[in-house]
Amino acid sequence: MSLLSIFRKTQLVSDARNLTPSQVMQLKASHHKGFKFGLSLLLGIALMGFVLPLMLDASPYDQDLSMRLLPPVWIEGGSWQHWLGTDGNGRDYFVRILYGARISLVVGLGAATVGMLIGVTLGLISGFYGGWVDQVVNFVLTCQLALPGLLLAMTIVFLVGPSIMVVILVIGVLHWTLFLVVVRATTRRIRKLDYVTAAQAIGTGRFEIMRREILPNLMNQIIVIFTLEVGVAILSEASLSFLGVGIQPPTPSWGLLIAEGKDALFYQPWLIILPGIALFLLVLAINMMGDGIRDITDPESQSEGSS
Amino acid sequence: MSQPLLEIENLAVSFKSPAGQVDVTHGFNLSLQRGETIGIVGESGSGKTLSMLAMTRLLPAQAFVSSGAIRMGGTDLLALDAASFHRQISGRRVSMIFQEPMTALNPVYSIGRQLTETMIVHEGLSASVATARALEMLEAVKMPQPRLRMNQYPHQLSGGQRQRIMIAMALMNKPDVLVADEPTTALDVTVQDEIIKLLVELQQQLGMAMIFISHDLGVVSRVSERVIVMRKGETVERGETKSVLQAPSHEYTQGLLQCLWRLEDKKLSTESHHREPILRAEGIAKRYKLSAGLLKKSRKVDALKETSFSVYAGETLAIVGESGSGKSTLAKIINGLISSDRGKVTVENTAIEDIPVKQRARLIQPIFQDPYSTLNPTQTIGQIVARPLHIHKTVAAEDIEAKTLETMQKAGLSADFVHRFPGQLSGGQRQRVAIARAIILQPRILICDEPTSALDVSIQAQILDLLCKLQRELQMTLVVISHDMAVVGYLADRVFIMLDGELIESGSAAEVLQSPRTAYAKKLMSSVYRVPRASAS
Repeated sequence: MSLLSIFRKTQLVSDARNLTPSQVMQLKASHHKGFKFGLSLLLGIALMGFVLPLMLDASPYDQDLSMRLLPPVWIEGGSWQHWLGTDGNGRDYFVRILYGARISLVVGLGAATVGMLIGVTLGLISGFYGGWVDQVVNFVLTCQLALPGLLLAMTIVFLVGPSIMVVILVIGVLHWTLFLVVVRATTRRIRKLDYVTAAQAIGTGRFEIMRREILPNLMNQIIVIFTLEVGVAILSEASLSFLGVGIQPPTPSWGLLIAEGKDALFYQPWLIILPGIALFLLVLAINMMGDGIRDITDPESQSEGSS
Repeated sequence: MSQPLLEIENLAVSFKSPAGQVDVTHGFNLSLQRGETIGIVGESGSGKTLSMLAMTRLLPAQAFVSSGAIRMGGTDLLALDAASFHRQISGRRVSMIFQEPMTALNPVYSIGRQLTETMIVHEGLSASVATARALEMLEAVKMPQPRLRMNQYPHQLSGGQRQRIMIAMALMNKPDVLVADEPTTALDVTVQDEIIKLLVELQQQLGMAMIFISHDLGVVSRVSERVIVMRKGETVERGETKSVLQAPSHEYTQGLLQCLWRLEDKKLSTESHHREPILRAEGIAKRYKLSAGLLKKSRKVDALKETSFSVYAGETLAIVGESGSGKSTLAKIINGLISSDRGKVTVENTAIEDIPVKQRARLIQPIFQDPYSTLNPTQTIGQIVARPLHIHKTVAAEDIEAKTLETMQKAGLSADFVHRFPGQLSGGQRQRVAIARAIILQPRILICDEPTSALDVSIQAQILDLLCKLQRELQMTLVVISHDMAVVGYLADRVFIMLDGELIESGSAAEVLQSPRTAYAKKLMSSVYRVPRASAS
């Protein structure tokens, strides 16, 4: 008996109640503090971004020049009317930050989805076929890694013209390498397992093997990378917007809010600190959730074939 | 009797789990005299390895010793702190060797460095003294060309040689007790024979005591004077090996032996019936290219040299050989999963590459060795077994469920397995699922690559019986690839023996197994350890 089979058995002991893989995951999720914290924070931010503005009936674009640069309520001169203060055009900062959450989430999820589609497709194909297909994909990957991402993104957005769609596509197209590398390596491993050979022997087509036999076994890893990439994409969007080639004013994006506030850094620091905190909390929530998902879906728990 | 060298009293090992503490073994007792060998026999999950890992402090993180005492010459091993345990006991008084020689050595260090490192670092010996000691040990384990080996790396050695290195490493400090955990299970039979003989010899030479863990009663009966039989964490029987094996008192031991006898007692088939050949291979050969690097010439390995044979309808053909003999390559070629470089395979007079994949699937199906990788962990058993029906539509959509259940029942799986996942099944159950999936299309030929070698003894017989039963019911032809002579003798009508990619002997089971002609076949047969039987029974 090898040590590995002992670890496998350890798992059997904790699975003694004969749970299905999804039940085991639920059980683990309910015990994972980081995951629960990240998920609640993320849900909270999403609710605040998408639902709260509808209830508030306030626009992020309403200007009131007589109320410019009001401080938040806890600083002298602030009032509950604009409890997080106002910006240089007298727009309510709380409402603008709320709308910023929308942009961040939409861009983050959208860009990570684009990256996932590209990376997973290429990874599956190159891992499954190997040979020259793999070499071509590898070459594309090497080229991609050699490109200076942010500069390229800036150039493309500058040429095509900025809009949310363009920002999503550009960030997505620049963030698929992690998906590719992980999916390719795992596909190569799974491809050699007996259940793939068995599927071949019962006459399953190649596409079906990739879709039914290999892809479901990659889902855990894809989800983990997806959450990480959402965080990265949100930060990229903020950087692009900060540099003026992302979301365009007057749309409220956190990166843009920070950029607009940088002139007033010394006198009205909250203009930078508040969207900064929002950005920090959102990415923290997503990363904690990602770590949690990684622990929960740890393949060791499903006593996978490879030993 | 003098004071025992090692005493284990009432040892219990437990696991921490979300559901609380789970006892995996309990009430384990052992007392070992100097120079004595005790065998511990049990199936997977019996706790035989865990008890020994507890003694060597190698338990996995979630496991801990929950009660009991381990004493070695008056020292309480459990009371020692980690530092003094490693300084005084581990490697010096107790050493352990493991099953898997392929992964036990670090591939980036030379053999010499791995052998001498602990002596130089922990004992402060000079490099020359340590090297001399390592050479001495390599000679003791009968390693040819020991000086050359010192500078070689693990990948340059065969499995049997690596196991010799592992033994040499374990013996570097002349331990009092050697724990051998299935040291020969991963090795070929002829190599197993050599390693066992070596262990027995070394033990007598060095006068050390040995604890020999194995699932193989034949091997244990060969090496140990006393034996402990374990099952599900409990000791069910202990005593002199001879008396336990000849007159077992516990029903579990009796059952185990019966499984063995049943495999051995079946009359070997003398039939060499030449009915219609269903599959014919003519001059098939396969060569693998191993690319050594960018600028080096690629090396070619002949996995299969020109081989011709026929498989007759309804028979069971066993292909026997050790690792590297080309038997698995042969199986994949006749299954159409890889193509041969030369020659051709015809199934029912059609060349196999001309048969459309879907049609081939209904003619030939494979069964694999490893029950842990043969099923997709993300699909339920029902989905797995029904899959061929969805692809081939041999039955109407509304009958798929009924057909699936019927097939599962044939394979000995009750209906409540339908919604379970592979992770919830034991090895034997998984192998039944793999068999159900293979027979649901009612293929003419079933190719089984080591169908039982990853299973426990008591389950092996069940799976073999199942295969026999299904063969009769569905009138299938079986091609069984195995290294296990008991399995071959039980199933086979005809036997092929392969060596280095060549078919060196063929004939009816009785001919080949009882009166082998070639020297290699004779050696193969004599390397099999059988449990000695009481003449009365």
